[in-house]
Amino acid sequence: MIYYRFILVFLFMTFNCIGQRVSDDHLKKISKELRKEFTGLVIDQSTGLRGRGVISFGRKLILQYDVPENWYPFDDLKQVLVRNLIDNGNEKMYINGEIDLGYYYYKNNKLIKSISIDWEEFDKLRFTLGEFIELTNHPKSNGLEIKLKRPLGWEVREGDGPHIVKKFVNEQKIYLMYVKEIGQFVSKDEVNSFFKNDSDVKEFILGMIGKNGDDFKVKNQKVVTIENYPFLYFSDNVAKERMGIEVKGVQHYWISFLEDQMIYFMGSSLSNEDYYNDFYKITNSIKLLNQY
Amino acid sequence: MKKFITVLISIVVTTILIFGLFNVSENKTIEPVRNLSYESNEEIKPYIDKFFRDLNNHGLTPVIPQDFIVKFSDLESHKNTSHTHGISFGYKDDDRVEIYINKNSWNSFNKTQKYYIVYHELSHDILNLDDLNDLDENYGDIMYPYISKYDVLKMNDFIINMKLLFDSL
Repeated sequence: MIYYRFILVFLFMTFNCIGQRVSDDHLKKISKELRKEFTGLVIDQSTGLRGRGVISFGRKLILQYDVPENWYPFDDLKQVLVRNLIDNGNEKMYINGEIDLGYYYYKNNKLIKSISIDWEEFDKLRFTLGEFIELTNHPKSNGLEIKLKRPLGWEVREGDGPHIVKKFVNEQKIYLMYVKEIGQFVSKDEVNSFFKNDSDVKEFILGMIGKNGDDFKVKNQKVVTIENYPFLYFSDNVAKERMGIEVKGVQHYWISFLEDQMIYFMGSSLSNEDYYNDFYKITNSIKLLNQY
Repeated sequence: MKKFITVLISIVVTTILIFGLFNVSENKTIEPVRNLSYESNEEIKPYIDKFFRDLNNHGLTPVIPQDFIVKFSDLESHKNTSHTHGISFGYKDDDRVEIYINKNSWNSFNKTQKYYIVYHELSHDILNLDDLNDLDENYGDIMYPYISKYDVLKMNDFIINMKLLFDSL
């Protein structure tokens, strides 16, 4: 996907300082400048894809390509393009600039494939889950057989604490997976029984987040099922001081005891916006491979 | 009286013969199995540690003998053990734990089966428990003799059956 990268870097440099809706005339100018660099350029040596030209039409920026005789488009070319743009974080400049995209592919001077992406489509797909991250053999997973999907455009980081297996990070949002041995095996029925005992659960949550009963009210506490297994969900308000300003946010937890491990998934953000839906979607992608 | 003495002598001789044959048989098996074994500490040790942890959690604190061997062995290469997933030689011998696990079986087993075979063999040597009969009602039990049939069981099945066994002791 070398050619996407080239285009994206170029466009990013062009649009970076804009950050807002560009005028049709400005878009025309950009397409002219881009055309000089793009025309005749070998975009991808492995497929023989070449830049043919760049034009703008109203709010649409159209990238044209010449393709060799043996080139055929993927069935899911549009999805691939959209996913790559989101994964590289470059969809933002099209959303901010309200620019639609067109990809035209020519073979022997004949248009053989065209793809259109409206900028509003990016906005709808901004939170899209990508590929599975396999954590079964991760040394911090302690033998739990588990995988989950990362959101496109989110950075995947190794956990920086002793029991944090992985982190997905995007701007102010963090989603992490934590695993710690508890010293005994527990069965699914035992976990269910524990979660039914309100006072035990409250004590457990308070111990976990290090608060006392007076200054903590468990919000939205409920038992949910992830992959056929009971998990306790709850959320907690957090506040941190940054540059003298108190920033508030919400942390969402999905926690359980699996085999002889305590496991939780936590999504948090230090902003006024609550990203529960994004964190929920990541959690919903979890596969506990020993449950089926 | 003479008849009684004759019967008694017959019983003693028969017993000696049986034990003698058993020892010969064990010796015929144990040496090749030992020779086919190799160090496996890193892979099996976490399972052994959890076995003793779980015994302890159930208030069971058996004395661990000094003579303690749990290793992989190429059991398939020896005719007496070619169809054996694991073999223990310390059953009813409190001074010895000597267990060999078929490396090929281990590699083909899922996580649940790995827990089952280690707990099964250690239950022979540490707890002196015998195999159960191959009956449907025993399926899922730690001492059921055919771990290869456990390929569809999950960790939750192992946990339930481990607790049932240790709670019963």
